[in-house]
Amino acid sequence: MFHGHLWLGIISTVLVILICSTGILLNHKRGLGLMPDVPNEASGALNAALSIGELAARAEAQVGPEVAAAGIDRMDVRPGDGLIKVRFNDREVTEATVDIHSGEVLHVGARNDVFLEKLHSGEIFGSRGILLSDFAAIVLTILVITGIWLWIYPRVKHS
Amino acid sequence: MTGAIGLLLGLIIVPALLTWAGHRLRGRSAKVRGAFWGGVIGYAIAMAAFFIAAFAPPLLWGDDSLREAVVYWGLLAGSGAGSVIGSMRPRGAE
Repeated sequence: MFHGHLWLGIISTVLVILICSTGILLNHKRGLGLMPDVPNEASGALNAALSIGELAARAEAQVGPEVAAAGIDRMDVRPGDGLIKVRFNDREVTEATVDIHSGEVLHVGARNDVFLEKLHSGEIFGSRGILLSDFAAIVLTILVITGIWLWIYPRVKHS
Repeated sequence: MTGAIGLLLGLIIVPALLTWAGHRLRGRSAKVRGAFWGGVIGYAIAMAAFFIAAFAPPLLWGDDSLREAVVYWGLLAGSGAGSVIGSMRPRGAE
């Protein structure tokens, strides 16, 4: 039991540190400036907003042809804030924040937290990379159980 | 794909080998002891380099870049280099 605990602990050290540190960074991604925080107020109703196509075109015009050529990954509408986040498929994961009523581009920047999310889940190492994350989770569970057992067993034995 | 193999070797196999090599270390030859401690120190240095390369800056690393090489192969290369250097500098007299 002790050697199993020891071996699993040493083997999973880097993986667990990686997952823990990316988790902490993701928890504080706004404070650390890893994702843009654009304050905005809705200036009209959602049905008065510009079309999705028009908003996408405004974002593409702002980020430049190289980033726009990578294509749009997703568009995240925030009706309460009156904005839409247009995320591109480029390597830096560029995101343009556009006012849905005026079409004004409020902010353009990299979504660094996407990188951290991929690192956290293991996706960055390919489609099978999530197995690393699964492995770390299973190992951590085993370490907790064996750690408790190693602590309790001598006390139970001597009582 | 080869990068992922290097990473898995560095993440799992190298620590397992070092743990195995650490068993009954006092009974092993000075050369093996030197290789063990060299591997441990090399792995620790490589681990620091791995985390710096993985996080700074927090953007996806490119193909064939030094950064990618450090992340995928650094742990394996660091411990390997440390072991080789350590084996050339045996620890303690026989």
